[in-house]
Amino acid sequence: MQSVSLNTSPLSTSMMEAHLAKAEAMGAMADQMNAMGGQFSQQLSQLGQVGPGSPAATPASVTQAQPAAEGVFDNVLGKFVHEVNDKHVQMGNSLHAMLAGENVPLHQVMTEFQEAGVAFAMMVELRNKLLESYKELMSMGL
Amino acid sequence: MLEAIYARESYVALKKTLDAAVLRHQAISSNLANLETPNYKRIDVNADFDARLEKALSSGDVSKLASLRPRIEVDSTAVPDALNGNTVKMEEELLHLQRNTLTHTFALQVLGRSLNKIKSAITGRVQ
Amino acid sequence: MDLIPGLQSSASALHAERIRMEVISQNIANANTTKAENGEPYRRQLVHFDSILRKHMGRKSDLPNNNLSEVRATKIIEDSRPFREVHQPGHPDADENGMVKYPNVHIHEEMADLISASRAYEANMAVIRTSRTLAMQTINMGK
Repeated sequence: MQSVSLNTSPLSTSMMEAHLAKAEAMGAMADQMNAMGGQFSQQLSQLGQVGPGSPAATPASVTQAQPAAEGVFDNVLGKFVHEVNDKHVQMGNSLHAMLAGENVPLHQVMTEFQEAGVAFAMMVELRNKLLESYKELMSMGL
Repeated sequence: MLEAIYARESYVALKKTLDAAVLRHQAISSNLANLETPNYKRIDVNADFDARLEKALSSGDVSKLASLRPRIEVDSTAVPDALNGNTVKMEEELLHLQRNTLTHTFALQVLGRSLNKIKSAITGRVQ
Repeated sequence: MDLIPGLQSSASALHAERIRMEVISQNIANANTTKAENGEPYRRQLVHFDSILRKHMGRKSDLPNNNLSEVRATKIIEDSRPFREVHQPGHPDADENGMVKYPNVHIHEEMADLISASRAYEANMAVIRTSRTLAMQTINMGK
């Protein structure tokens, strides 16, 4: 993970720079976490840019940038959660059909089971990492 | 985001190969069950399935792979061996059984292990 | 539940071949029965096999399994070939000319049938073992 250096001289600008650096660090974390999810890390790096565009930006633009960043985040996360849920629903349907006596092939049910498991694991890890980042961010103090 | 794992060509192709192997096993079971049935014609997975799989793989389009559907057809190339019109030859059929079992095992193993590896990568723990 | 693929077909074959073997044993046992219950010599019996298409249960399968069939011993028919006639004047069942009618059972035919029936039985046993292995592999997929 990239190390973040905090510049402690002028108050507001250093805080904003730290903010920006943190957002970029989050982007790097996401890259590592999901080497395969190009879309996701793209979105996160956009986040880093949506924050203060230049070090000279005022605090007002910082607070303004926050809701916009959350909007992008929500879409990506929401879509992902739906995908994971879809996988589980599909597995549930196949299982139900099989138990009801319909001739669902065994390998189909097992494959869907495994796929749902992997999707779920990914969601859990994502949640953990985001929670970690959030805690670190919050503990930075203002 | 899940398409990064599940929509990859090799993954989809493996799943289709497994589908075909399961279907073929059922066809072979049917054939060997009817070894002594007069006028029974041997069945198998549609003969052009392998060619279609290859074509879809080389086209680079995952949706073509995903839309492949193996099905069971009567084997038109089989000729009757016995006088009763039955086109199943036991030795050949048993060979088909062996070969197909290997394909099935292979596809299943690679599929299972890939998923395990991905899970390990995600959770950071060895599965 | 289609847990073990192809099991229905193979199991039906075991049953059908077993019936066939029973009929063959009966033929062999009665190879020299000159007077059966109906007063006539024993008439050789044959089993007729038919392939029955498997019925679809539900529709949920992405893998269409039309054309899959199992086998049934649908009829036991009598061999209409004539009885063997042997000249044995002293035999209790001899007719005016001293000819005795023996069953139309030929041992070498029965042995050949028996061998092909047990061969088919063994082949289907092998398929069942394989089917079970495949199913267990599939269930243990994640491990």
